[in-house]
Amino acid sequence: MNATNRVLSRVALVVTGLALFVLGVATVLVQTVPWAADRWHDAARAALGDLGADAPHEAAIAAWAWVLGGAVLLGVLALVVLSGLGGGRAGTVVEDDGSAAGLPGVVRIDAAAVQHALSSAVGAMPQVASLAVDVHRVRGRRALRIRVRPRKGASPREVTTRVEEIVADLDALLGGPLPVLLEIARGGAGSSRPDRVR
Amino acid sequence: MTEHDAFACRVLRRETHESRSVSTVVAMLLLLVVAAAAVVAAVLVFLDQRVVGVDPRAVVDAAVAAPRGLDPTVVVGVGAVVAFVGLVLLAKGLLPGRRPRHTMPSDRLAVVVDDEVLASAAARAARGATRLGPDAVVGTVGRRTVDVVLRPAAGVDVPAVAAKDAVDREFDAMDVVPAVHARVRVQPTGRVDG
Repeated sequence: MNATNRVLSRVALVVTGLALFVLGVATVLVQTVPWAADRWHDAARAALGDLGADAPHEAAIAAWAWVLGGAVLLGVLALVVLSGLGGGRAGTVVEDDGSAAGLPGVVRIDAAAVQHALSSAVGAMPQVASLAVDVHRVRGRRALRIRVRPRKGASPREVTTRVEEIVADLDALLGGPLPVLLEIARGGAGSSRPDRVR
Repeated sequence: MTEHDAFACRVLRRETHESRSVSTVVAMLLLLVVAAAAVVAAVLVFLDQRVVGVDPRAVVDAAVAAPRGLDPTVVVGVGAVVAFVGLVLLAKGLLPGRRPRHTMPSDRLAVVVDDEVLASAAARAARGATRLGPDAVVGTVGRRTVDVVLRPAAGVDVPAVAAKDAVDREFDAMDVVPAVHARVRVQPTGRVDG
């Protein structure tokens, strides 16, 4: 539920993977197949000749300047992709300055308030072994994630129905609906104990 | 499309697929190492220096002259490793990367459920219909199937049809997406401890 740009990281993965794969296969071919080695010699002498030790000084400086520029560009692109990972947590749930004609001031509801309210309400359910609530920013809006780890054998539909009721109460409290993701996850403390007979 | 639908659509798609952030970090760190090496090499050439007796220009000459003067085992080994890493990253990027999860329709919430939770709910439903012990029923959930295996004690008769009905009822109530088809089997080799 974080703000990772998945398309960007997927494109970066495919491009990097393809480049490494082609490079590796080409290396093996040049070493083992004479025909590939001939092609490599023709291409490399034209493309990499200026980078070698025998090149004239002027040409060598220009060629290595291109290498330097390309490397810096590559590094910056990698950092851009890395900086696009993760993030998107939010500390407030509601931030509202009210109607234009009203009193000056801002109403701000902290994430912790909603976390506490939901934790005590959802945690009281007999099917729930443990839970976590956090607030994220999704498409510019605040959204809640409730991660419930139910006891063994608990019915996911029952859990969902109960959480729906609790979220309806929360809507009434906050004065408007907030997007909510309910994640019913495996494992966690106390989940190996079966649900108690009710 | 309402706002709830748009939110649910986006979030559920993301929650049921891998984020690939680990492989992306690995790939980008590899690129950073390559870029740093190239920068160092270029600076060495500009300053006309060498590091541990190696001139970057000589390295390029050796590469251009390949395969002459290179150890075939080392070159083929390194090439194979690089190609393999590339293939793994490529696969990570291209494969759909589904997580073992299902979604459940809801008017108010976006709901994802781990398949393990569904499996244990199926096992509990079957157990309730057959009065078997907790260890005697095992559920497994695939993308479109739920398999429940009943292992009764030797000589005990199990109402397998009732168990299938119970599992079907449970999954009808959940209405998971993608829909799953229930199968209940009784393991013919009974247990003694039952």
